[in-house]
Amino acid sequence: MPVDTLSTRLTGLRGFYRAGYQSVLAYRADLLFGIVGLVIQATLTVVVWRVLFTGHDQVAGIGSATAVAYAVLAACLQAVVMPWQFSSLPLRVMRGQIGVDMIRPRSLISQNLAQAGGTMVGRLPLGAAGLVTGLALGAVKAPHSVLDLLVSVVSMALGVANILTINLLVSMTAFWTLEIGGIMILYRFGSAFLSGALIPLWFMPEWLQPIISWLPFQAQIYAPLSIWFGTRHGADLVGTLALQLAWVMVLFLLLQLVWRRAVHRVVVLGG
Amino acid sequence: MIIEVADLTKDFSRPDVRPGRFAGTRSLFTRARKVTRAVDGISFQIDDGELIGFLGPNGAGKSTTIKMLTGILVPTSGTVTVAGQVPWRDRRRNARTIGAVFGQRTQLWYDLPLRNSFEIIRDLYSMDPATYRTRLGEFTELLDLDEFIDTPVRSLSLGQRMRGDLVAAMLYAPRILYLDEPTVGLDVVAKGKIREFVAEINAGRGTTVILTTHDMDDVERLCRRVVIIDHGKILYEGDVGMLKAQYVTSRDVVVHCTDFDATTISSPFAQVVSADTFKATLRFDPEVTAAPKVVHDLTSRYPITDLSLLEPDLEDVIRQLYTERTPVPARGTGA
Amino acid sequence: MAEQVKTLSPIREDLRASRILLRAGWRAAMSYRISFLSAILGGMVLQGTQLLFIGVLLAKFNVIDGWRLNDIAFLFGMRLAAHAFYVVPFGALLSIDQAIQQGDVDRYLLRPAGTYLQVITRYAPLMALGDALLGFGAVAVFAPQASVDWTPGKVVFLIAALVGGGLVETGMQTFLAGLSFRMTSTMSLRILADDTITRFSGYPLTMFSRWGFLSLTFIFPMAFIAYLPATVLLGRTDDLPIPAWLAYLSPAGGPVVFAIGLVFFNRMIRSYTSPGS
Repeated sequence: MPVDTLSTRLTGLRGFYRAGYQSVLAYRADLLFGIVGLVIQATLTVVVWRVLFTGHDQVAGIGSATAVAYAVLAACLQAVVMPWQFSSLPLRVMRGQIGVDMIRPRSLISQNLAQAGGTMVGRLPLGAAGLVTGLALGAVKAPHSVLDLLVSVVSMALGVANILTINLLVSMTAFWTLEIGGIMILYRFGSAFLSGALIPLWFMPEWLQPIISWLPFQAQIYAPLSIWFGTRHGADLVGTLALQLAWVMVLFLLLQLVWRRAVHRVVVLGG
Repeated sequence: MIIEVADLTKDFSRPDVRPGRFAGTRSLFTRARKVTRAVDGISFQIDDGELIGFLGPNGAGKSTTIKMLTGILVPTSGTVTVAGQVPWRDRRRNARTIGAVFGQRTQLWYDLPLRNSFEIIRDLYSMDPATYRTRLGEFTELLDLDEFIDTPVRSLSLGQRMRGDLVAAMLYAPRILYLDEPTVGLDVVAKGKIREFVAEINAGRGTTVILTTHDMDDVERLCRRVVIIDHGKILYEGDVGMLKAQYVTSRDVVVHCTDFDATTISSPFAQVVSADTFKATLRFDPEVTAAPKVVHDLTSRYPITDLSLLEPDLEDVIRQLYTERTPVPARGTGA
Repeated sequence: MAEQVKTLSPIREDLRASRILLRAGWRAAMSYRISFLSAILGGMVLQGTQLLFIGVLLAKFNVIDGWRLNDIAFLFGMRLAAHAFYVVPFGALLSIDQAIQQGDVDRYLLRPAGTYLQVITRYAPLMALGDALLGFGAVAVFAPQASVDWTPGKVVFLIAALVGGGLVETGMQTFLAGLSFRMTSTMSLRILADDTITRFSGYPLTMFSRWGFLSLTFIFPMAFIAYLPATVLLGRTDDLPIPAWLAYLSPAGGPVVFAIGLVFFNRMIRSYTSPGS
């Protein structure tokens, strides 16, 4: 019986991480079109926001340059961390391959998280292409201070953890119903809107802002970017990070809970 | 002549991915393509009403050829004529002339009961209701469809689905039926049913059948003539009996005895291949010595309790053919 | 034993076959009853976020490129309704990659009906009903509020424009789907086109500069989907860097783009390499 240390655990998971990473590169056309697409869309987005701001100096206390930069960075971030196919779990459940996954020596949760993490790394070129486009159009703004930069990177990491966990949670509905097409769409577009990937919370209607800020989604994209642009200081900054961390922990607990029920379902009902 | 194939060739080109570090990343920037020739200049003819076996090892080009005959694939070069039409060019007219069953994939509507699939086919092929009813009745009886005709296709067993597929392909009475591994993965009973059905539609209804299979029992029971291909080229085309005759240059006779030591057996006409106390196997060349002569020689000289003459096994012949991979020069006469 | 085959013209034959195949598709879709509502809801949400997006923005900014909220909303509504004329009849086109990779196209080529027809009737796109509900609802709500003096002629033009817009989108998607016969997967390309149309075809396209507008009219003909006909209805053809008559003829762009897409698709079928052959 081999000893299961942290390092053997990680080595075991590297395979899944690599599988996710390589599956992105295997479809070279997909990646190329993704890059072309992001270049086009980043350009069009910059135009839309600049046109919107014609005749306004500031809207909701935000200037044109910040709004444009937010739109570009959010689009890049979204392209990397919110892939259309964010989990292979539903397909594997549908095809009955999940049984094989469950007898592997790593837990299904870590297998899936590793694979999804690999997918994100594979998609980094997309984000880079969008960023270059933004820079070329003079639409990207650096953070005000090194501290803002460092904190927003930490915040992005928490955002990614948040996305990975929620994605997996949503994918697990596949254990209960095979018809998850509608749910997936609802989730994809709902989370895109609520995370601030499309519109920053600044521009949302006043009645909607408190609701969104209490949902887990804003911790994915809006939180790190609002730190990047220096709109948070002191207690607000610490509070944002604390809330992000709290969400990751709550979601992870929830994931364990749902997973336990899913296993029960697979074991008792035979998938 | 219902099918005529001349110099048929099919190339496939696929992106060439070389293994190694950053293979994935590198493949983003290369446009290298690798061309493989799946079918390499084959020619043959099939007569109306024939039941022909189309054989070859995996990857030999069988399926590619069948797909060109059915009009699914467009040949790279060469010609195919099926009932006077070029299948891929006169696709729709060809579609009404042929039926096809691919063992690996169903052609039925996955979510609908079998009966609905048949009705859709009835409508698509503009069959008149009376013909449809009689024919479905006959087929239902031949293949025992009764028990599962109202079950959705997704819940059918492989054998049931296969029977459903066969009926779907024959409902509109095509002149030609292509069967691509129709018995793969089936149990003995199901195989038997399907063979019976194929024999009936060929002999009873005059349908031309082209059968690909790895199961030599299928071939022995159904086909008189075979086309064997490998590496995209024809290895043999002709009569099954002739193939055996050409390939089987020796036959074996097995003798059993109880009253004496079998290791002492010898014969001027045959060579001892193996022998122990109770049993000996001798091999002879049927071209040189006729089988009765060998049998007579052995039975007259030794007190033998049992003797059996082994039939040449098609499976062995095919195995030999695949390993040697040289075309058989003399051709059979056809049907 | 061979049957007398009634000879019908290919078009009549295809119409007949489409009736048969559509019935089969819907019957199959109905066999999964639970998914019905969630799919329709999904369709509404997919397009609804765009409406929400523009609604939230205009609530803050009021004007975009000289267009007020009511006209922008109408433009978005037109785009959504035109989209419905693509996804309801042709939505199954989305699954062309699977149809090719799983070898379903083998089956289509063996049947006496058009291949394209069999691809688009692969399954009933339930989600499209959500798109349709939202799109037609949006037009019904926003058209009366737009700065248009509605006359029967303008209503007819609007309907023609919506159908034509749907066909433009269909034609573009059909063209890209044709590439699937050559490439392993065109899903990302088609999602890119769909996404670009979803996100940007509801804007006054002249705001993307002269060259941007021209390429969105003649290369990636997104302008025909909603913007060009909308300029006619709103009396804004003066904004265009192209002759006004082209905008008046824009509903005819649909059949043209669709025909090009379909011819290309049918040509590409010859490159089909059936899997496992």
